Amino acid sequence: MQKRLLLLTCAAMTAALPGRAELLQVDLSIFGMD
Amino acid sequence: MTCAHVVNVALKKTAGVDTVEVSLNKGLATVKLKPGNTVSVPQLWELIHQKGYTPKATEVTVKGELESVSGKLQLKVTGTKDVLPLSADAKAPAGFAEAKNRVGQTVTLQGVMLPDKNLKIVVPLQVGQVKK
Repeated sequence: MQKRLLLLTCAAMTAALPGRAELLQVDLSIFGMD
Repeated sequence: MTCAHVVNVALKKTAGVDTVEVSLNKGLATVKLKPGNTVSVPQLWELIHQKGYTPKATEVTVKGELESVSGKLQLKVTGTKDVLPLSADAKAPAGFAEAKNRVGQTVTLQGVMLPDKNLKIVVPLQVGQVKK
């Protein structure tokens, strides 16, 4: 029972988290590349 | 093996990287990242430096939650202590102004990061625009 409650709590917490900040795209200027 | 190939392979090996396109004419590597990645820009700069090249101005598209701490605007990585400090882009100040008005919201920002001499230092993202 306790294990099930813990799992439910974890699932609820994960669902409640807003979107993580994450990189979508990076355009890197690189000096000296040929 | 060309220099571009070396950079391409190194970037593709990085966990979280989806695709890499290298343009020799522009001296530009465009890196698209997978959802849920934990890649940072300084991490990519360090990688390029390790391959013998010098990273320059980097255009970044990043998603996150805007917050204001002690009057300073930053983009927060939920669930971690990671934050990306934000500053205004002198050429496009409207983007930073809009970001200030959207504190508390999850947004996608586009802007430029300029590497420090110490590539590991987290530099501010100069906000160019807030994407819808």
